[in-house]
Amino acid sequence: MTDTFERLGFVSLNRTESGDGYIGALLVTDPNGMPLEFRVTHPVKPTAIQKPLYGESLEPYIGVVLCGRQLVASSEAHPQIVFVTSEFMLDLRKEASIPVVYIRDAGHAIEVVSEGADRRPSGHVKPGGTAFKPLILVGHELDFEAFDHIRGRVETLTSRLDLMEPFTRTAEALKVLTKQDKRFQ
Amino acid sequence: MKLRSTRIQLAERIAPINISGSILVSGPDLFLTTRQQSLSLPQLLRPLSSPNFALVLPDILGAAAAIAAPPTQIVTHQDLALPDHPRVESLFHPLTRPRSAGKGYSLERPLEEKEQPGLTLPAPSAVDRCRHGLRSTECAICGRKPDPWRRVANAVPRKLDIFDLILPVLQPPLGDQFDNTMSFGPGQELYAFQRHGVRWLTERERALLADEMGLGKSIQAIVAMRVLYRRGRAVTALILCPKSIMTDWEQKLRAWAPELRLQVVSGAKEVRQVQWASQAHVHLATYDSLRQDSEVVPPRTFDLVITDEVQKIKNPETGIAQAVRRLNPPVRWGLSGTPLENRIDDLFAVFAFLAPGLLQAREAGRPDRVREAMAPFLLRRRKSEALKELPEKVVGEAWVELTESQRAAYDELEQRGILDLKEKGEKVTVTHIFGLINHLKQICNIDPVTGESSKLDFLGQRMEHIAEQGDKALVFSQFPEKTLRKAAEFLNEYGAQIYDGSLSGQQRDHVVEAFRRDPARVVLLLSTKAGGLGLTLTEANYVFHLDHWWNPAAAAQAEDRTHRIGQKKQVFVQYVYAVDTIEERIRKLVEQKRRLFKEIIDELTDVELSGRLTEDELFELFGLERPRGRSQTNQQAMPTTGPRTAYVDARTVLTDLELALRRIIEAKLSQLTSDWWVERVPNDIRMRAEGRRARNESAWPWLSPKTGSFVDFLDFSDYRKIISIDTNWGDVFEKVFLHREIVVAKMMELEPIRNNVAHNRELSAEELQVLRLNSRHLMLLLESSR
Repeated sequence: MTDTFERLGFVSLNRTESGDGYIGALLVTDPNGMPLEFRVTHPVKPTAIQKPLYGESLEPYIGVVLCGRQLVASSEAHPQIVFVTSEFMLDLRKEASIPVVYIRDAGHAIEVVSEGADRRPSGHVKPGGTAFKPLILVGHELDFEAFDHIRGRVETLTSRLDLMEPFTRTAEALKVLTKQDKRFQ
Repeated sequence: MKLRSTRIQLAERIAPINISGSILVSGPDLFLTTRQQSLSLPQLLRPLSSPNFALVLPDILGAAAAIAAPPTQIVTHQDLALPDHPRVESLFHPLTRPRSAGKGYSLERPLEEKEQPGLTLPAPSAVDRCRHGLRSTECAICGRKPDPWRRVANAVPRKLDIFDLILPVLQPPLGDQFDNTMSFGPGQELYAFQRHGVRWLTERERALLADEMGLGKSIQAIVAMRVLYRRGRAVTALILCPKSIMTDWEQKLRAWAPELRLQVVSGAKEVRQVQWASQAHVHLATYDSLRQDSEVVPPRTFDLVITDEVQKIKNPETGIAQAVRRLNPPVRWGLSGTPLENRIDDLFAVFAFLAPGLLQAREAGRPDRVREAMAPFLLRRRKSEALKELPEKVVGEAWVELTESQRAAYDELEQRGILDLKEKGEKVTVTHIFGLINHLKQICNIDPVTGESSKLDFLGQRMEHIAEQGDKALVFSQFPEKTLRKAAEFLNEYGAQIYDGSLSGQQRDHVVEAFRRDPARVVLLLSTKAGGLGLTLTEANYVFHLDHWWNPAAAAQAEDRTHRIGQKKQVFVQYVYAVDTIEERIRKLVEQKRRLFKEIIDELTDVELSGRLTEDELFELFGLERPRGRSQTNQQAMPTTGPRTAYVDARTVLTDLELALRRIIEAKLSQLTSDWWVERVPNDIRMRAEGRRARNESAWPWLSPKTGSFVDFLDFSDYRKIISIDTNWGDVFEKVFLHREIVVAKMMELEPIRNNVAHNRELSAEELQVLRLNSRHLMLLLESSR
C-alpha cells in the first residue's frame, strides 16, 4: 500500500442552474489535482409530488443511489478514495468498496450532530503547508477501524492539494457544461 | 317445446351482448356488478351466485311477461347516476437512475459513451497522455515536440468533444501568485509587474495593455486568458496578430497554455474556412485573414478577443477595423507597445472596438480628456520601472565615410535629384522628396553599381569580434532587396540569413529556429517591417540599424526583439550613419522634432515624424523651397523651428545658379550647332557626363533621365570650363558674361563652397559672403541676357 492515494474521487450533488433538479458529478484527479476523469449525470428533476413523498430522503437518494453509485461504478479511472462535501453522501460507502470521506473546513460551520454521527469516525487534518485550511474529516462507520490510516494518507495529500478546491472546479465546469450542452440543462 | 324455443330466443338475444363494467339490464333484471362477462344460456338457466354475477329478480324462467317484453335496453350506470367505486390511480413514480456521460483525460482509450459525440481529437494511447490531459508530445510542460495536428489542414471542420471543451475549467488553479507548478513549466515564472498585469486584465472586460515592448504582454494575456477559462468566463477565444508574430504566439500558447486546444487559421481561403469552423479553445489568426473571412465568422463566436498590435485597427475605415468591430465579443483586450503611435486620434478607432462609446468625438481635440477617459482601461509600464533587473541596453551611433564610389554615386544622384525636383516646379510633391531620400539612403548602404559599402565593411569588422565572443547580432534595414541581399552575401561566413516579408510563415520559422539553435549562425538580417514586431530573439545581444525610419519607435521595436525578458547579456545597439549625407540631415531633424514633441504630448507617445514634418521642412532637406502657390498640406504639423539657416540658403542659391548655368550653356551652344554636345564640349568633360548619365539610368530608372539632357550631368567646375573655352567664349558667352577673367574667378571661388555644401559642411561667414556676392553677380548677368 502506498503512502497516499494516487487517484482521488470528488463526488458532488449539484443543483441545476434552474434550481429544479440535481446533477451528480465525479471528478477524479491525481494527488496534484490534475484531472484524470470527469463524469456527470443528466439532471434528475423530482416532481412536485415526488419531493414531499421522498421527504428528507430525496437528496440522499438522488445523491447516493441514483447518481453517486453509478458514477463511481462506471469510472474508468477507479478512484481509490472518494471525498464528499455532504454528510448524507457518506452512504455512498455502502455502494462502493472504497473509503468515502466527508470533508469540510474546520470551524467553517456549527457542529451539528447528525443521526449516526456518534458511530462515525472523525478527525482533523492539518495541511503540511500554510496554503490550505485545516479540514475536518468524517468517515463512514464501515471504515471505523481503518479511519486513522485513511486520515494519515489524506493528510499527506493536503500538502499539495486543497481538497475542497476540486468541488469549486466541478461547479464551474457544470456551469459551462449546462450552457454548452442541452442534455445537462 | 314452444316455451323452450322461446327461452333460447331470449337467451340468444341476450347472449351476444358483452357487458362491460357495471350495467343494468332492464327486462330480465340482472344487476351485474363487476368485470366484463358474456351471458350465456347455461348461466341464464339457473340462478347465478358466482362473485361475478348476482341474479336478483325476477326469475327469468317464470316471467312470461318478460318473454313478450320489448327488446332489451342497456343503460349505463352514469345515465342512472348510480354510485360507483372510486377510481384508484397511482401517483407515485419512483425516481429513476439518470443517464451519465463523461471522459477520461489520461486513460488508455477514450470512454465509450454512447451519448458522447464522436471523439475528434486524436485517440491517445496510455503512454501518450500527460498530466494535462494532452498527448505528452503536445504539452509544453511535459514534452516539447511540435504538435503536428494543429498545423494539418483538415477537409472538414474539427469537432471538439464537450468534455474536451471544459477541460481547462477542470484544471487546478494557477495559484494566487501564478506559480502552481502543475500549471507552469520550469522557468515559467512571472515577474511581479506581470502578475499585476494578469490580475488587472482578468478584472476587466475591456482593457488596453500597453506595456513597453519586451515586457511580456502576450504572456500576461495568455495567463489572464487561462484564468478566465478556469473561472468559466471564457470557452472560446480569438487572438489576432500580424503575420510576422503568428508563430511566436503559437509557441507561447503551447508553452504557457498547453491545456488549451489551439486552431491556427492560415493558408488558402478554403482551408481557412474549415479552420474557422473547427472547434477549439483558441483560434489564432492574422488581421488580414479575419478581414478576408469576415463573412464566415459570425458575431459573438468568441467569448474573448485579444488584439495584439492593436494599432492595426487605428484606421476605422479599413476592412480590418470593420471586421474586428463586427466580432463583438463580451471580453476584449488590446495589446500594444505603441498605442499612440501616430496621434491621439488613432485611439478613437482602437477604443471604438475595445470600449465603444468611451471616447466621444468632441474630445478629439482635448488630449487631457481622452487620457482621463482611457485611464481605467489602460495599463502601461516602462522597462526602466518594471524590469530593473533587465540587462542594460547601450545605444550608440557609428559614423562611416562613404567609399569613393559611394560618394560619387551619392553626389551624382543628389544633384540630379534636386534638379529634377526643381524642374518639376509646381508639380513637385513630398512623395518625390521621399522617393529621392529612399534612393539616397540605399546608396548610403551600398553603391548599387560597384557594390562597395563602408557600412558593410564596418559590419564585417564588428561581426568578427561578435563571433569570437560567441555572441550573435541582428541587422535591420528597410531595404530587403537593395541592402539585405547584398549584406547576406557579404556576411556569408557568419552564417547570415535573411528574414523578410518574402518568406512564407514556415520559412520564417526555419530561419528563426536555425538562428537560435545553430552557433554558426552569428547574424540575422531582418527587414524592419517583417522582423521589427513580435519576434523574440534573445539569443542575440547586438543590434545594428543600417538605415533609419522616421519613427524612432520603429527602431526601438526592432531592438526589443533582443532586449526583452530572457536576455541575460548586455544589449548593444548601434545606429550606423554615413557622414555628409541625407542621413545626417534627417537625424538632426528627427532629434529636434522629438524634443519638441516630448514637451507637448506625453512621454509615452511615439511619434511618426514623417507625419509631423511640414512640407517646408522636407523641401529644406534638399535646400529647396516649397513651390509657391500651394498651401501647406500638413497643417496640424508643429510650427517650424525658426528662420531658414544659412546652410539652407547656400544650397538654394547654388542650385538656382547651377540650373541657370546649365540652361544658358545648352541654350547658347545649341544655337550654334545641333551637335553642340560633341562639337563644343571638351572630350573629357563629355565622357564623364555621359558616364554619369549611363550609371544613373541603370541605378535609378525612376528618375527618367533618358528624357534629360547631358548637360544635367555636368560637374560644377565643368560649367566654367565650357564657358571659358575660346571658341565658346567668343561665339556666345562674352555677350552674356562680359569679362571672362571675372566670371572665371568668381566661379572658381564658388567651386569649393559648392563642394562644402554638397557634403553638408557648415560654411564660414566669409564663404557665405562670397557665395552671396558671386552668385548674385552671375545671376544678374544671366537674367539680363535673356
